[in-house]
Amino acid sequence: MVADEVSETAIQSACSVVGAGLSHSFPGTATLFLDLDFVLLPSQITGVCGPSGCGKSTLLSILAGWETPKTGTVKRDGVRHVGWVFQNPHGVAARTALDHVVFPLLAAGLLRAEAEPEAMRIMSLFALGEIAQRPFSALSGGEAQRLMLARAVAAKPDLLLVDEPTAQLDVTTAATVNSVLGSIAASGAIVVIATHDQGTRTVCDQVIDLGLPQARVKGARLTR
Amino acid sequence: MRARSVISEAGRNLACGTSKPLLFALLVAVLSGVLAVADVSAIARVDAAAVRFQAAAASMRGIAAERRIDAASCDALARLSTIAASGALSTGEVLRLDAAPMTQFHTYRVSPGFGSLLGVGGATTDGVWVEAELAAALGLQAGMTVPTERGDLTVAALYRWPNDGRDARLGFSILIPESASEPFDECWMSSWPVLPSNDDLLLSTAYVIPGSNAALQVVPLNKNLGRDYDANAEFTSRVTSEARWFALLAGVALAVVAVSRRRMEYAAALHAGQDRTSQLLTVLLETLVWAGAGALTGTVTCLLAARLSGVTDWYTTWLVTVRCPVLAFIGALLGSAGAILCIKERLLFRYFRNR
Ligand SMILES: Nc1ncnc2c1ncn2[C@@H]1O[C@H](COP(=O)(O)OP(=O)(O)OP(=O)(O)O)[C@@H](O)[C@H]1O
Ligand SMILES: [Mg+2]
Repeated sequence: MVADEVSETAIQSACSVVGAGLSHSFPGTATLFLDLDFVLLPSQITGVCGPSGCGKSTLLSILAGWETPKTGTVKRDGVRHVGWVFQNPHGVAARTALDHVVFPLLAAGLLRAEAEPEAMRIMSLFALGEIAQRPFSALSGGEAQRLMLARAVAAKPDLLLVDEPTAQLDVTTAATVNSVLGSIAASGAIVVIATHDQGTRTVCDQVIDLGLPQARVKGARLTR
Repeated sequence: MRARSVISEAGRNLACGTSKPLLFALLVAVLSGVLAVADVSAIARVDAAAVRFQAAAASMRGIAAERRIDAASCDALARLSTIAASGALSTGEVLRLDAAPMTQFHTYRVSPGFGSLLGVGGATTDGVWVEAELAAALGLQAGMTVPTERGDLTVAALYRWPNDGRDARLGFSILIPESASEPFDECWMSSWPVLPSNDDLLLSTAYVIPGSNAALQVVPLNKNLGRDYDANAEFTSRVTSEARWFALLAGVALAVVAVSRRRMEYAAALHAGQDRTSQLLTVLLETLVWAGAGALTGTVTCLLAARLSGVTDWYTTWLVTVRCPVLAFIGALLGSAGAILCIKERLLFRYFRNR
């Protein structure tokens, strides 16, 4: 099924991300999290959960190396390409949905003739086959959100950071996305999802719960 | 990224209007075209002044040294590449025509080369040259024979010598060319552009007489215009002489705008794994098309302007002013390259952080 199809595209790599004693706060905010320890491994989905404003996106940016934590360290081993799917979809208005997914494949050295069928395959995983030829500007919010996921998957990241992937989706589409996220992880990538969607949470192998009072006090409780 | 992919991505961005090629081509065409046409018209003004200057014989200069000018040397000046025409002149005796015995006409003895100064260079020296207004008053035409107190004279040619501030002596006069070996009084030359170094050549046509220390002075033949007109300085100091650098700046600025309005797209492309070289090449290719189309339009505009402006040398005028569109084009390429190299993947992150 879906998992097998995705695994064809993924890079099998022995990589890991280890967070130790992570704490962060911005000037003017309370401590967002304190003394977080976790290990992220390939083929695992880690959920970062908690209410709005608790620091989920901030933790993702620390994992990506774009933000430096106040204390603690993040050790990325063997992570060559980090893919980030932002909370808000963004794209080139006049280019087609297909073009957006083809692009990372071209960047990786494929020719368009090779990249198009591959991009179509990835898009169909996200139920985007129908809208492949539509310009980005004509996509609905949910379609654009899934397109961003498809594009990120096409870039074959070792570490895929996904911010609120199901926020704009209905229950059925969210379920599709959740199952595809599972398959992406199964193909050997480290997947981290910031979410407050219960459905997404169930596909996670582990959850860093920033909403729990303990997370703010000392360490996050890792639930399995 | 493969070269074919770079080309196809650039092509798609152009075709679907992502890079707004029509708008930017139009802006390049208008900006560089306006600057180039302004330069053409400034050059046309300088040119018209130069034409007026030459038409008023203001580009002629002469020396006067009684019975000290070697006519052969004076005529020979015209063979130099910097001197257009030259000839020697001496005041002759007054002449009466049989038809008007009461009137005395001024005559001048001139060397054969003198005709080139008057535009009658090809005319035969077998006969006299009559000033056009005088000829009209007497009803004379080239080829006619006039009985005079010195016998029959043939009118070999007519020359124009309007009263516009130039040395008035040749107006209403008759010139008698002769290949005399005896010294003349004056040597005149006409050169364009007027070069100070030619003055020394002119002075060299006078015999040096030991003991005569009266310094010879080179004077312009038209005292109204000829004093301190420097066509070269007029040209280099024209208002639009720096227009091409503004065109370069305009090209750079347009390209920077073209890249920075798409900065999120470029940052996302880097995030999607595109290498900097292929990103640079894609951007340059797109710029090549819109800036090229714009600059080409500017070039044609400038060519038409040069041809229609009526300048003496439209081709050189075009070569000078076409630098505006050419530099706008180069500026656009440089601006694109510079701007795209400033795009950082981090931009994407910062953008989404700051929303
Ligand atoms: N650069 C910054 N400077 C100051 N405060 C910031 C900065 N970035 C984020 N914050 C604050 O830190 C807190 C956590 O922000 P973050 O975006 O990580 O929340 P989140 O858990 O992703 O929320 P949401 O579910 O709404 O996306 C918020 O209160 C936010 O206002
Ligand atoms: Mg967030």
